[in-house]
Amino acid sequence: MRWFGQLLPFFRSSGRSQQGRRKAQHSSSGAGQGPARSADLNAALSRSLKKNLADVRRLLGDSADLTVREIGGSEGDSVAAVLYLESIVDSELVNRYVMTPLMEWTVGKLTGDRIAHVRENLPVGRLQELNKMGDLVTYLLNGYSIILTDGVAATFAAATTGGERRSVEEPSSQTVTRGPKESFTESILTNMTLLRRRIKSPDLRVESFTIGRKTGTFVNLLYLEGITLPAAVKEIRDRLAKIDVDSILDSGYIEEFIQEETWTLFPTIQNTERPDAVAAGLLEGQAAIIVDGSPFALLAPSSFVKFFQSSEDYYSRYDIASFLRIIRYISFLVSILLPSLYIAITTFHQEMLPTPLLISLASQREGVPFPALVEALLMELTFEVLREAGVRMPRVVGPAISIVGALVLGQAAVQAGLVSAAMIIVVSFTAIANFVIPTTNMSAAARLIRFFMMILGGTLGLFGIMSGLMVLLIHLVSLKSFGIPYMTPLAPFIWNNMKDVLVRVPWPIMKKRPMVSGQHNATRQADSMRVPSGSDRKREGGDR
Amino acid sequence: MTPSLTKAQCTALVVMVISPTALLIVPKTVMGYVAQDAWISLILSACAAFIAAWMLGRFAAEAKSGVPFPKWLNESSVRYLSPVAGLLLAAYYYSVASTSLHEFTTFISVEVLGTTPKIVLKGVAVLVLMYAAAKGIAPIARISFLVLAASGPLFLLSTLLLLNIMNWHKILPIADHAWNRILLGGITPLGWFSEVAIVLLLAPHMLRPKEVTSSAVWGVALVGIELTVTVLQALFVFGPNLVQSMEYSSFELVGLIEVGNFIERVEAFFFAFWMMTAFLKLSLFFYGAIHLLETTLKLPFSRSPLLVAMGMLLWLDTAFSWPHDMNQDLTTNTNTVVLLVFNLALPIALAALYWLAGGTKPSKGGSDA
Repeated sequence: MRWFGQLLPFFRSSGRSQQGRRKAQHSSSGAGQGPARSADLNAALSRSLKKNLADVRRLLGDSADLTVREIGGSEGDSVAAVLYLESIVDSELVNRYVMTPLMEWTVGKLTGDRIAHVRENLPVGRLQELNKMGDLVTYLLNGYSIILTDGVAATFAAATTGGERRSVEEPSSQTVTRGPKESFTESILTNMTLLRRRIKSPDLRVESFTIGRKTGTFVNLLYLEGITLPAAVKEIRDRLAKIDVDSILDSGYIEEFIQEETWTLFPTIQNTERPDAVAAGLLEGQAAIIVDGSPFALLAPSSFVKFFQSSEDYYSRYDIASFLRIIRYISFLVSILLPSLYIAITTFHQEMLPTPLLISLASQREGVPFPALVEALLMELTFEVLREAGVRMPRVVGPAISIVGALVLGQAAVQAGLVSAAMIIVVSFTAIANFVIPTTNMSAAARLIRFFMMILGGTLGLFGIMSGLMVLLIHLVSLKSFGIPYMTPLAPFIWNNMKDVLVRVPWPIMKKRPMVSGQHNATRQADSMRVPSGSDRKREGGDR
Repeated sequence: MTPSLTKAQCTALVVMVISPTALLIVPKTVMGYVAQDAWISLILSACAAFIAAWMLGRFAAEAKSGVPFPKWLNESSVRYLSPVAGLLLAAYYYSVASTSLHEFTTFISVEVLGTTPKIVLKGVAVLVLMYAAAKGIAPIARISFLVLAASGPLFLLSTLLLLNIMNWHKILPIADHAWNRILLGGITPLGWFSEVAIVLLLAPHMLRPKEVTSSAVWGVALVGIELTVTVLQALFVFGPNLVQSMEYSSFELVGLIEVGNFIERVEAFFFAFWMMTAFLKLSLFFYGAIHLLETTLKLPFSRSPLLVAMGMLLWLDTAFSWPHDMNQDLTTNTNTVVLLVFNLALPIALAALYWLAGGTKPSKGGSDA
């Protein structure tokens, strides 16, 4: 079955896409659709136009948006028909490139060796010959126009996919001040275009899958041959091929189905709406998964440090990028630990505070009716409620949340003596620090871990926090992402890959690809590339 | 069992095994013998430990990558000793885990959590150890390396910050004690150094077991430097008499660090860092006990039931078997004897028998027991 290769002829399909094609066939046969229907879908097309039309109508339940345009013969009987779903085709394409030629042809050209005539003369780039009812339905549901002719047990599907789509816009969640401003859309074709424009290499491999018995969602697996670890690609391919569900509505579904460890708070697969981030990931040896209908692509394998890297790190100067990256790591620690440390120190280890600070805190807490742990939990939960409300609330009333949250709740709570001002500062700073983490799933993990740490700090002090950290560390260093240790290159420590971890060194120094890349083709710069020095510049000037 | 340890990770594990408890106990104990000459005792002890580390390393280097110690012994010329050695070492590792856990919780109780019942502290610690042992030795090794890498700069920084309150004259007169007394002072640190025998457990987990000798020697060298500098710091700052009256001089030492009026009482950070190293040590010994038990007894079931049972046993053992505070004799004299017997005498005897009987060549009479 070569239909996807025809669907996207400008993709270079590799030999490994067989599995994906098999999967597509499997899903189109409709594992969960009942035996009678499954048999219908597997049936070959009839030579009778009437029967074929009746079967299509029946299979689609006389769908209101199914358009059937019959083309009559001299006797008044139809000799051909064009079928399409009005809601998902481009009417202009259908009328100009399918309907007009067919209408202009004489009946004789639609009889006899009609198949050859249509194949040779229909002015459509992507034209696929089909001979099974299941394939016909699949193409129809994907926006193709189907040309059925009487007396022939075969049909053509012409690519006329259309319908309303969101245009390419600026990313909403991973914004940068310097760098590309494009983001993925819900269309897999548009997303592939955005990537193909960035990586013009014949080594870019695209394997296709159709996942979801009901949704029949197109999923593309992309990687760079010779750069991505073959073992990782195989693992991802195998896990994708094993997914057998009725629906895939977003890449988030795929992420949960293929991730290495389900019972972890930490994300082991990156998601991004930035094509440049995906292109960078591919060039660093990751594989990308693009799902039709989702503006978020997945990148795997991923390591912990990848979640602290922003696209902008590579577009701005290395010095400020390194500084900001350190700030992000510190913010992550603050986000996890600050409230718990505050609780532990004010509850159990007051002697560790300098005396003036201790007196200040004690005076603030005087009259607060709750223990520090309860006070902190209340404030953190309040913040989470405000945050969730801010996301769900209509934009026009958004500012009201800020006013209510910051002024009314915060100030009033302090004035009423329910919480101390220091606690407000701690919770606010923690919340701001959480926003510094560039990926939302890692910041979500930090939010959840914070609550565990607060409980440990509030019940067992520093001992509890360190016990929690120890468990967290053991968990982190045990995690893997498609066979790659999650904490690499920190644990296990790989010195050569440290150039883009805690800091980002200048580009000319990053000659090798980082850890996830394959053993071969690890070099990404010519040997002649080096950090320019002042003397080099002078020498160049002198030569001139 | 998949070998994964590198030479650096193995070195870090050796440091983590010796350092956490030795750092607390050695300064006071050695100064109890030889006061201001404690650093000489330590250096002599470290020199003896180098030899021991080299010998133990050579023996451990005979191990096969991926083959647990008891199994490897079982395939060697001294296979009849395999069950005894495996069980003795398992018992010893469990015993060290139990003793160290008690020391650990006592320290926490004394210094920071006086009102929390020790049984709770021990219970939480045991849960952490069970989790670590369930995940295997690779995560422990990876964290050990990170902690070791971070401890170097911190150790240097703390030394620099203490420089202004150090009085170099407090170690005078040098070599004031008799040499036999100085040598005697080195026995207790040698007991702690002898924990380098953990390489017998580590070698089969290494990617290249031959490198274990180097790891053992490097580990002892790093701990030797750390302990000697710590003892010298304590001497320079407090003097020998004051240190002997302190329970944990290393902790008190860090408590003196101040930078202006804004950085003070940094012992919290020291405490947090030390706790991490202590967890690593305990995890490794607990894992060792579990690993040796399951490989020696060739248990037919998964690790989980053994882990739960051993965890419960450890918790109850440490909670009810020890007196309120472990007395000095137990932590020095008795413990030193146990350390030297199980870490030096037993492995050296095994090594001697192993080489006398022809090394890896199986003795006449059969292959597998």
